[in-house]
Amino acid sequence: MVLLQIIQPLLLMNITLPNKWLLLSTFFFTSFLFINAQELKSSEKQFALSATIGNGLMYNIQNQKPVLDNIFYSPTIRLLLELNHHLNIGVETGYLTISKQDSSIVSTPYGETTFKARLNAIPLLLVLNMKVSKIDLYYGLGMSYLTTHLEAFDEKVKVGNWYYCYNIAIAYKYPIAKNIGIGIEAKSYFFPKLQTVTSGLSINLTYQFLHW
Amino acid sequence: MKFKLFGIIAVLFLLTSCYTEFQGLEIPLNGTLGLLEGTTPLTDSMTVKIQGIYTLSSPLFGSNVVIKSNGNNLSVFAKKNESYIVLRSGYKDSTIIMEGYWRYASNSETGLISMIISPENGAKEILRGIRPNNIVIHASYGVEKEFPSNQFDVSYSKPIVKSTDKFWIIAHRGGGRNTDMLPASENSLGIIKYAEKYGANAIEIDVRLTKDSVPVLFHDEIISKRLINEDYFIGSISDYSFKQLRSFCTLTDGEKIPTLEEALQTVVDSTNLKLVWLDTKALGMTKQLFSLQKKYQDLAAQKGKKLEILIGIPDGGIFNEISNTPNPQNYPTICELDENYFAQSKSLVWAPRWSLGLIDDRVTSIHNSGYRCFVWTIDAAELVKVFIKKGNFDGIVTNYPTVVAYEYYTSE
Repeated sequence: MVLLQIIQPLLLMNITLPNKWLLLSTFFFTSFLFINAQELKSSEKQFALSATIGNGLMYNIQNQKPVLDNIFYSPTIRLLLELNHHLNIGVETGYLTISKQDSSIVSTPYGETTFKARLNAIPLLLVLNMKVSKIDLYYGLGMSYLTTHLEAFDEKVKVGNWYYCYNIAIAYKYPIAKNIGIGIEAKSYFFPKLQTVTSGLSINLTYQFLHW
Repeated sequence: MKFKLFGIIAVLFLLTSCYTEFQGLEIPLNGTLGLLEGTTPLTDSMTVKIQGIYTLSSPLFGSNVVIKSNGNNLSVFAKKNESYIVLRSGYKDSTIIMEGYWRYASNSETGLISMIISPENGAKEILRGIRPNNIVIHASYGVEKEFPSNQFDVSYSKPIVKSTDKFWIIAHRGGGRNTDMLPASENSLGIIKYAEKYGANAIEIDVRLTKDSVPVLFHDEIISKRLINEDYFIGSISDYSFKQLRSFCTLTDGEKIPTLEEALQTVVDSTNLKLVWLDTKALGMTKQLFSLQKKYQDLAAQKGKKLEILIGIPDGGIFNEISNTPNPQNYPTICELDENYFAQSKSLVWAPRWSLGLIDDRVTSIHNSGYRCFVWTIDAAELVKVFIKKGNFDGIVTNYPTVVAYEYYTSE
């Protein structure tokens, strides 16, 4: 009931739908922080810093015409402060190609033209990680710098802008040495303002390079 | 542990839920039941004879509705559920037949409807151009695509407000926003053609400039999939040339982004709208707007239509640009700034936002100077009622012209 009383005013606020999602998700993760902060008291404190690099194929669902290429390798890197407990915190970035069309000749009402288009994203996210059994859950929230390159009618356009972005991921890591692990991760990036989602699978290499 | 698990599931559910903005309502069977096959379309003078306030008993539409003539067709506006009906009409063997679709203004429920006026219930007189003493309409509605089978009768009660041309029901963004689940995109040629069916007699449309200075209809400063289908168009309209936008960018309903010229041509050719408010969203197009304003007002006059095109002054930048143009008073404008700017701009209409309240003294002062006042943008039915019954404004900008139409036409 208490949760409902807190959520209800948020839902009724005169704000945009993407911001409602942001507020709601922030609320839920604040709740997690609260839950895990309590458990931390009884836990032996060990801290570590780890870096994860990953690369895999990301897929973007499109309803546009012409349909652009939409499966790309998308490298990411994540730094995580591991608290040896359920909840960890870190930062994540990467380079995502959301959609792309290499040079093609397109017929238009204004005659034929060479058409090229590419949409890229560089997310900068604050990441929360929770270990549940052997599975890692990730939630990242932040901004993403999106750039579009469009070329048509002998004119090149390059436009960049910052947009809200969040991601979720579920990962499994297998240790291959004391501080090194390899794993697989399924993740989705959400760009609410653009109403675009890109999802995929990546192979990760994690190195715990500092612990105290 | 259970709470934690619940929390994880709740978060995953929340974050993976689709964020979708409704992109348009599909009218069941395009509002066609096939009843009009072999009929003769009603004339404008016949539909005007049907116009009025009617009583009925229907779980969908409540106890009274407004039936309003819309050229040779009719629309019905109800208070209950903010519902409305868009009808096409014809007659055969002295029977008037109407078919179309009903829906609610603020959600996506919809269905098909038929309405019949038999010869003995007023059709004979209407077809002879006489207003009958009594009109009874036998109506049936269905839900979604089901054939209309829920019957109810609609009986003429009294005429609608007499001064139908003295109040401006101004459809926002050409007819309503994308979120209003209309069958066409906001600021599109498609939605402009619908505006009158929704009870509007005027439209407000948003004008921006492409990189190569072509005025086009587009509301948002930042392009996004709220308004278009292609994700690789980001930034603003002014980043792209007209050819690029027209060739590779589509509105959510699939229509190309229209030019202002196409929009005004559509207003003149395909509607009986009396007023167009150009909401100027960018600097640097005043001369083009003045030129198009004159061209299409003259064109409308040639066709015997009375059309007023007003150029919006929403901010100081546009105000300065228009003020610095030679003889700005020759070009009708509508000013959203305060009364001082309004007086300096020599605008024909002052347009304050609704949140200032009824501001009777200020509106009366503008009226006493011989000018009009439009208020923007009111959607809530209760608020619409207050502004119509207690306010003194000459027009309301709204995303729900059907709601304003009901309240205005029943206001006497």
